[in-house]
Amino acid sequence: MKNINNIMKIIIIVVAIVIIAGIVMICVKGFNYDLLHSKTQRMNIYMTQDFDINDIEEIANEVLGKNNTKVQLGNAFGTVASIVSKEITEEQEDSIIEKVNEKYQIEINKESDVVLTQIPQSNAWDLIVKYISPIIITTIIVLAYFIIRFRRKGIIKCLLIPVLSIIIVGALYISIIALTRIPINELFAICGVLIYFLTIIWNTIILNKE
Amino acid sequence: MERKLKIALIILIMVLVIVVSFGGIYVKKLVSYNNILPDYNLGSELTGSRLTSLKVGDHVHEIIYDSEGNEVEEIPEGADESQYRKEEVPENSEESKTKENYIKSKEIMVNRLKSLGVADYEVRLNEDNGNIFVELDDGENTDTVLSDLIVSGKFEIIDTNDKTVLMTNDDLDNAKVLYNSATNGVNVYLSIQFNKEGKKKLEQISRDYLATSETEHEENEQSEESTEKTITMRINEEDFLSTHFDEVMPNGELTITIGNASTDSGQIDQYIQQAQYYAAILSNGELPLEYEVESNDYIQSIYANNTYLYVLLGITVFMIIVSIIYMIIRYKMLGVLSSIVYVATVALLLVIVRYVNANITLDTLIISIILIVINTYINCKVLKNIDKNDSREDVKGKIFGSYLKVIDLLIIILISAVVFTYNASSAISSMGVVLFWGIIIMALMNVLFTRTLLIDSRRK
Repeated sequence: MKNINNIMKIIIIVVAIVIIAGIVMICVKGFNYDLLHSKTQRMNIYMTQDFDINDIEEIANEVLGKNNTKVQLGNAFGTVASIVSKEITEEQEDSIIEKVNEKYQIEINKESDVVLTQIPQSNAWDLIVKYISPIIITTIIVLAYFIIRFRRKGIIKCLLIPVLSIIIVGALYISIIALTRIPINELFAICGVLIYFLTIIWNTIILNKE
Repeated sequence: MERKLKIALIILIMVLVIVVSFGGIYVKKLVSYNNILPDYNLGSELTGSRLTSLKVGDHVHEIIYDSEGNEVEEIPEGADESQYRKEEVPENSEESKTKENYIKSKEIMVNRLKSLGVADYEVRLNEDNGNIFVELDDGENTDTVLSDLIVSGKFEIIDTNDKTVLMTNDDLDNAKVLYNSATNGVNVYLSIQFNKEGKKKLEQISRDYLATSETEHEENEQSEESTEKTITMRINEEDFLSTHFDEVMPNGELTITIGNASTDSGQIDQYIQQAQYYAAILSNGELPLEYEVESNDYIQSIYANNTYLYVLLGITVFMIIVSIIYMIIRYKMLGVLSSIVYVATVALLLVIVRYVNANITLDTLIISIILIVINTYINCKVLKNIDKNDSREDVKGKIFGSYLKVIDLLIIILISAVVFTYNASSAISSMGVVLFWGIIIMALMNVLFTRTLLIDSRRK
């Protein structure tokens, strides 16, 4: 029993340190966003003939570097090649156009067929905000259910532990993401929802067992 | 014999469900065979979305003044041009290009999206130059929504004759859409509500611009003049309506009929959309800057053909396989029987998902992981309690006991599913729909088939 208490203490201390370190990391360096959610430049090339997106990807990787680039197909008929990179200089833009022209034997006009736009960075809050209200409503209803169904087990087990576990697990998840510098994208919020549900399931199973 | 037949029949039904779900139902149409099961509805996360870049306008407006210094739209034909003065004014002055105005513009656009009922969006702001990047689901209304985002939202009530500004956006509180069913059809109204200051102003204006009755016209020439005194409501710097008031408006609310009463649902929808547009524009204030579209393209999702998606699908399939292998190794024959129903449950859910029109997104894939965890937990909970030497009656009792223990879990997940289903976001709503049907199918398949198979696996 003494051993279990000691292990629990160690776990609590580790979790607290990770959460505090995560908060510090978020305050100091923020999150690490993936390319599509970072401050980038997007170069849309309006192609005048059929093309293979892999060819464009190859050209973009060659000019901009493989780790720094993403290429997407645009428009319903696939007539746009969209290149995203941290930075696309004028020389790089010219080089891409030249290589595409060379590859397809076409004449892309930089002024009319290419649009280079600056894309601002995402905000982690904007990525998660739509999940906040359903999660809060669900939590309130689930807690009400716990209180009604398991009232004999006391308010601490029905209310305090579930609330704390949801908050701590959520904070731990966000801190780990911040500390490990895992790039933030759509999956950040979705995995958060998964963790939330697993915490609820775990709480229900524990309350049922007891 | 009857027991074995029952088991065989259930296994056959399960196999049939699996074959139909993964293979489809093919029916001959003209010369080819077509699958009559609807296709999966992929969400924008997996297909693509509309990416629009808005930049702070840098155009210059030419303003023409006449010799008296009044602003005119154009120099009349044949007029002496020297009598007119032209001035070039940038659409956004340098003083207006501040961080506060950039942030305010973004907030107004986000609020307009909310008011227009658009739930799935991402709006990013470049605080250095005010450029705004908007990501929206690509649908038939996307272009309309985008154009609604960048209109100025300027509201004015002016004197029709002398153009004196009587009310502005500062007097507005909010606007909403109202409906009323009458004998000749449904009326759609735009209800504009004014704040405390606006309420006082509206009351005063409605007194000043009150229409006079016909009798008074005949008897009193002065009243006839006052009838002509009208106001013009301008929205987005365009005349919306010109009118006078029939009565004093003391309650700070102005209700305007949009279109005519109609019984045609298409027409009513059109009026509602129109009213919603004005309500969204008026409720959220005037944009402090003018924006223009820099680029606007449908771009395929990075997940459309990406390893992320395959990894996520792989994790889901891997979890199912691991669960099944665990059940088979741990519970032998009973595990095999449960696994058959387990796979059929997944297969049936995949069929239902096609019919309930849930969008398949990354969110719904995550939900499937939750369903796998719950299904495995329930199956293991049931199988764990069954002993080799248990009779049919014992098995029945133990299964019932196990179901009682998991019922709380199912209720709680069902509650979450309902909350998520009624969310405005199609991704969250789809999560709820898949979760809801997943729990229902899981419960039914367990009670109808797993339970029967486990009971019938006993001779006595």
